[in-house]
Amino acid sequence: MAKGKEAVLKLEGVSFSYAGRQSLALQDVSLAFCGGEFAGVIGPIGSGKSTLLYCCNGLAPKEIRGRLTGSVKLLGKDVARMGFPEISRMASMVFQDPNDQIFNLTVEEEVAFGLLNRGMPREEALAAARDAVARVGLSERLHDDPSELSSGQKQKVAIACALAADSRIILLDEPVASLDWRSSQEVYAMLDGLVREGRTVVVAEQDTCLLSRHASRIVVIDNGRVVKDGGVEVLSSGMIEKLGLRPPQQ
Amino acid sequence: MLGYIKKKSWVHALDVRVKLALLSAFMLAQIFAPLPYAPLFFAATLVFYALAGIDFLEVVASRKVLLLIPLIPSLVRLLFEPGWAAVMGYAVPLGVLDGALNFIFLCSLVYTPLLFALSTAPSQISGALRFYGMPKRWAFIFAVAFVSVSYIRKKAERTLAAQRARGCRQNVLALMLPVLHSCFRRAKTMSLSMAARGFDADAA
Repeated sequence: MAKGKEAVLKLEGVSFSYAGRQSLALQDVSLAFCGGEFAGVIGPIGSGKSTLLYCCNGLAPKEIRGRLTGSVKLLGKDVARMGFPEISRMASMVFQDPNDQIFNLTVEEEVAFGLLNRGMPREEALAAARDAVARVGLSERLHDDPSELSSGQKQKVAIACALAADSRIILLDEPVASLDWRSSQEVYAMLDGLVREGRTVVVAEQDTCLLSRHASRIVVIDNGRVVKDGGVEVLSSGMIEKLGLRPPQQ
Repeated sequence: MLGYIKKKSWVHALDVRVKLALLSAFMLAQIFAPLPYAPLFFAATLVFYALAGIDFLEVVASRKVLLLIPLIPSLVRLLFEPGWAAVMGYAVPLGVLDGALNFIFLCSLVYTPLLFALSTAPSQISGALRFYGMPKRWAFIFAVAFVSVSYIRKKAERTLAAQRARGCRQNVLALMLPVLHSCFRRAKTMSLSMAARGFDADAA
């Protein structure tokens, strides 16, 4: 975290174990992310990247059963004491496969879904949705069935959902895992734009190449522990290869 | 199978609450009417399909498995119903008459609600069900289930193709397990995504 900046997302001594399992998926994780930071969380499959994101917005243990110790604070407020409508105002989540989260019949309704859950009047929610969809460059698909969009466009719709929520923190779980290179670049360029607006982007990712170009901070996780936290130079260290990940291409 | 077919017809344009009420009334009338009236109701079903601009024969052909519902009980009647009946002065085996009427009756019973599903946007179903007093949680489950049908269908087709490519032909388990696994994974992620976007199924 940059010195002198206030943390918008803070984890202190966070450990988490999934229900029915003895082993810890996260072990004593302490991290702080500040406004306007683009942080990449990297690690092998099963290292705890997704679990970390789930803990950040309260999905674990509120929806994903398990035992969490330590504290997670969003904008200074304890996540454990907040409900999802309040959490969703502060942090939005984008999942790996957009097919698993999109269920409405039009792009507009899909993006407005979260706002309507907050009790926002329908017309206002749809207007905010249209604005968010325009920002991801899909205005012409506003009334289309999202299931008919390409994978890249679906992921943009998922990001538009996060934009419409107007939350300061965007959490993304391997958002380009199923996308081609061009779509991946477009998604990351969009995330760059969010960071320039002062939002905090935390992305769990396997692609070191993309992170090396876009992230300002790299958190390396292995076996549920933070093993390295630093700048993008971390990606070029031997540690990445030791963990079985491909270092960024020169 | 139940996937919504986007068209511009007055059946599509009809208010979902009205459509649901009409469907319920039509179904009840069918169930309580004497069996000889079955062809009339079936004819009405065909008219509804025509008005919706949806090709009935194509619907039947692309959803062959649904035909088993009217076919099996009708075959039982055809084969095991003893006696004769007089139709327009001719003696006809009762099994044939009963089997045919039953087939028509059950076809109408299956394909009329199917038309409702085919001509109604799933996003509107939830609101209509809530209008008739269904709790929000259940209304939402119904609506999402309708939307998910096309996903399950696509997934099943892909799995079938993948299994056939491996030389597997009639193994139901080889088809069902990957499809079920995918459905459960999708359901889990979708519920997480909804929770993260502040959806509360129990809220008024």
